[in-house]
Amino acid sequence: MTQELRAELVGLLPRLRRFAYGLTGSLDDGDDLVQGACERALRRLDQFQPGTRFDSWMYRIVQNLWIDQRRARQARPETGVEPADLEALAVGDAERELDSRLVLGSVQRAVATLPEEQRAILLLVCVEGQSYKAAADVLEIPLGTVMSRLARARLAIGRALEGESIATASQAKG
Amino acid sequence: MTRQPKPWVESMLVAYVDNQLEPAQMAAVEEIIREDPEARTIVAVLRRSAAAVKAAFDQPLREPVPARLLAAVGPEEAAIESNVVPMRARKGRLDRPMIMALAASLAALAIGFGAGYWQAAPGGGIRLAGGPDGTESGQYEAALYQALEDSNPGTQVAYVEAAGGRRGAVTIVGPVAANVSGNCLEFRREWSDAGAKVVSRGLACRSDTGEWSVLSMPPKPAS
Repeated sequence: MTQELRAELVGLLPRLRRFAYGLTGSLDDGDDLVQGACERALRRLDQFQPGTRFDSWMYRIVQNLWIDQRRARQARPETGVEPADLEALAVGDAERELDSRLVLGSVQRAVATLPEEQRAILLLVCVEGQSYKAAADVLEIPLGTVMSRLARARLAIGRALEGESIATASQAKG
Repeated sequence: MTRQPKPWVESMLVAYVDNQLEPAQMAAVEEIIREDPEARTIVAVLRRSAAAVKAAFDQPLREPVPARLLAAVGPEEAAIESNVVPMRARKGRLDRPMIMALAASLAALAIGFGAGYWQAAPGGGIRLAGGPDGTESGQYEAALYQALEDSNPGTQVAYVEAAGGRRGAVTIVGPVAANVSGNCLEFRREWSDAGAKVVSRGLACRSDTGEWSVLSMPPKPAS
């Protein structure tokens, strides 16, 4: 059992790294987070409930450890990009012609400005391809909360990247 | 200016884009999109931005998993429990000139060894490729990393591959006396393949940033 889970964990590492990269905004910090999460998971392997999804369990450990770490180092500011900076980066026709890496950078910055609880949902659904139900399970929140937070996050990202075309959708509630 | 109440809410469009609605709701939203240009625009923006977000973070899927993470998961029970080597977090990454310098050093060193192959690790940790059967297991990488970190001659770390259950071991032979930059170790890898014992030798050199670059020799059946 334990051996199977370890093997499964090895297979999950690329996806966990991607999730942690999105949460922390940095590959190195993300890898530190994944390493800590793996260590935590191995200590608590007996708490995993057979028959439930192991990937959800791992995503949850990564997310919870990230929240713990952020609380522990309150001194460190929120991933700091001002919304004003993002407006300057809004993707218009001219910018579309620029290096695509610049666009990727602006997407990463837009994700970094999201509130913590919206960012995790956005990453689970849009990047990790999890269903709303699976994301609700990982984050231990109701499905309706997933939908409303995700909608706010998605509209914020859409506005950050394509400001004017979605301006009218600015009053998303949830 | 008063607006007609919209027959939709944004979260519905988001769920539509994510394919998370019931079939009846999907059909209803498709109807709305046909009628309402504003809904159509939002759906298009949502689709584009979701694709952009996905692409922005996919680098970890395109590079090998750093050895320290494989080591953290542990190749097998025994290796974890006997793991006295502290796995330090590594911030440094080999930059391109460093890799080229190391490559040149290793290539010079390899002349004495005969033809081999070597790999550096632009993504961090160690990277190996083109092993005995064309694939290297994470368990072998983790065992090698652990042995290299210990670095004492005679250190042996056994591993069992998750896929196929093939067993093997990495043994540190000792430091390489050569005027190469960094700290180089010779190691030996033994494993059994279809009942036959196979041995290969390799070199690993550590850069100033703490990353290992590994040169592996083609395997020979042990007599």
